[in-house]
Amino acid sequence: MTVFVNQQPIEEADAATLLQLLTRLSLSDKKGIAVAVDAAVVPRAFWGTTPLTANQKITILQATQGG
Amino acid sequence: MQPLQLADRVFTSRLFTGTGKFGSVSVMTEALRASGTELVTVALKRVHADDPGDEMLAGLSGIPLLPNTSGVRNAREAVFAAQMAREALETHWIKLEIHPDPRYLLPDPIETLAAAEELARLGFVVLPYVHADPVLCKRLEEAGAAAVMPLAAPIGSNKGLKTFDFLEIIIAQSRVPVVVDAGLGAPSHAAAAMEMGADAVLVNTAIAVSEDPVRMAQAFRMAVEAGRMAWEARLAPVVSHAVASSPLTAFLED
Repeated sequence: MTVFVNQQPIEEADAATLLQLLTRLSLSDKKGIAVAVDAAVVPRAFWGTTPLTANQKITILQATQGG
Repeated sequence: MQPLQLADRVFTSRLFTGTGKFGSVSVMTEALRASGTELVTVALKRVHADDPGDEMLAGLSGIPLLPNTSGVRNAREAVFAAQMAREALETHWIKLEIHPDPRYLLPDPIETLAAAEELARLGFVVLPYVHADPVLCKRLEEAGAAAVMPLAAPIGSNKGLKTFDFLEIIIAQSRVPVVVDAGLGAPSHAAAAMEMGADAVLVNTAIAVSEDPVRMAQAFRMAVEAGRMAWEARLAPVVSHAVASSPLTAFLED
């Protein structure tokens, strides 16, 4: 199935969890990030129990310099 | 100097700083340490392998962070950004800024008020960046804002206290701390804001873009302290005629 990570299409196995996707992107252990699925924040503790479905939009943000 | 109470925190430094526009993370870190700041703003962006965000956060270690909502266009996006910031940075403090117009970056008052109401209801400590509008600042206070952050001049313009008269009204009326934000280009601007009775100032560009950000950070630190000290000491009155400082008694015989 295809999901969209920060607007980029990514192929992911059916029934994958959010944690599996983030692990594959080497982001699962990264500090200072936040993840949302279809504009709803998913706290880190729930990544492993959040199943993905096709065409979901996943937003991953991190802190950067700003005023 | 009296400490600043803002929401549930006490600050000894009244200089808040931004982290944008510094030439390198190491200069930023050194400058912010030199500024004595106890609250620094950070932005959010889409995760990117090359971004020095991790290095930045390491450099800021120990200094409380104030994430902003820069980049959002309306209240709905601002609430989402605040929730993401809370998750990413483990703070419920948020600098609410909604400025859809990229040329002047002027804040949208209607969306800002709507977002402030919602974020306060959700338990955030909301610090809204707004125009120097005394009516809006009172409405934000009623909506539950922890402070108001009226602008001195457009972001990054370094023009100084262009909104002076309106900042005076905001400061006179406000029951929450007033943080003068945006446009302060010189330490003298920051000192003037503090002499006027502002509770704090937020400075980014003027430090980050100067030739020597570390020394400029120190200069702002001293200016903010001087301005605050003058406010606490109460300035002498302005009068329109001369008042002698030396005795006028004639002592020379002719």
